[in-house]
Amino acid sequence: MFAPLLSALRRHPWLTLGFASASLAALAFLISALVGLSGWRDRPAEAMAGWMTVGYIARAHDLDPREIDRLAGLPPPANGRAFTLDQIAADRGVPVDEVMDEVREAIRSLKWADHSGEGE
Amino acid sequence: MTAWLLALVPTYGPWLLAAVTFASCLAVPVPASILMMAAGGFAAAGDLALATAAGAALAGAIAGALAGYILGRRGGASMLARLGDRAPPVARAADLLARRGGLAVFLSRWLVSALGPYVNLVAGASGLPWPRFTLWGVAGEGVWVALYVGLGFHFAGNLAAASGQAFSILGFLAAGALALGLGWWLTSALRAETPLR
Repeated sequence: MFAPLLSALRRHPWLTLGFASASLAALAFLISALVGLSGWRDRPAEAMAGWMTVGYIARAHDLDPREIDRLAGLPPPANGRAFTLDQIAADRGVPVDEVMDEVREAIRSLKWADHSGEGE
Repeated sequence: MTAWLLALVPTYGPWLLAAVTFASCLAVPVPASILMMAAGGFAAAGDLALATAAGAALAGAIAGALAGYILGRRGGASMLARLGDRAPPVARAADLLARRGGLAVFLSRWLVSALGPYVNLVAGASGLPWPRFTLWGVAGEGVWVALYVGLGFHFAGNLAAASGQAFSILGFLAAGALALGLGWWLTSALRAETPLR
C-alpha cells in the first residue's frame, strides 16, 4: 500500500508532501466538523447578551420561552415580534443586567424543576 | 457595532439581512455571516420566519453582487486602477477569474468570500457575460446563505459553536479541493513518466 506513495515521494517529493499535507488537513477538518456536529450540545450555552430574545436564550437551554417569560415577569412576543432583553430593559427603565438576572433565575428554577421531576 | 446590529435582527430581520448582505458584496465591512447565523438562531427560536430571513439575505446578496458587476462594467479597467490600496485583492480576484472563470465567481461567494466584492468588479470590467456571472453568482450566494443561516438554525443559541462549525466545513472543503487538485497533478505526472508498454 505504501510502495506507490514512497515511489511518488522519491520522484516528486514536494508534490507528494503537499498532497499528503492537504489530505491530512482535510481529514482533521472533517473530524472537527463531525465532532462539532455531534457534541455541540455538551458545550456551555453562549453567554447571555442584551441583543438576545427570551426565545433565543430558551432554545439554547432547551426550555419553553413562555415559561421563562412567566417566571421572570417578561412580556411575551407581541404581533409576532419578540423583544430583545435590551428593549425590555429600556421599556422598564432598568439596566439590562437586572433583566438578565431575572432570566437567569427563571432558567435556574425551570432546570431545577425539570431535574426534580426526572428524579421522582 | 456587531452587538448593535444583532439587536436589530429580531425587529428588522429580513430588511436588515438584505441590507447587510448587499453591503458586504460591495466590500463594506459588515458582519454579514454572523448576522445570518444569528438570524438562523432566531428562526429556530420561532422569532423569525426561516424562509423569509434566508430569502431576504439571498436577495440582498444577489443584488449586491450585480451592483458590483455593473459598477465594474461601467467603470472598466480605469476604475480598477484607481482603487489604490485595494489593488492586491483586485489583482488576486483578476487572477482567480482568469484561471477559473465562472467557477471563480461561485467560489468567491462563500469559500474565498473576502475576494467576492473584487471578483464582482473585475468580472464586470473584464466583460464576463452577465448571464454567466449571474448563474454562478446566484449558485454561490445560495451556498453562502444556506451554509450560514442553516448553521445558525442548527446551532440555535450558540453562535460560537456555529462559527466553529463553519470554519471546520470551509476548511474541509478548501483542504479537500486542494488535496484533490494535487492528487490529480501527482497522478498525471507519474503517468506521464511511466513508459508505455
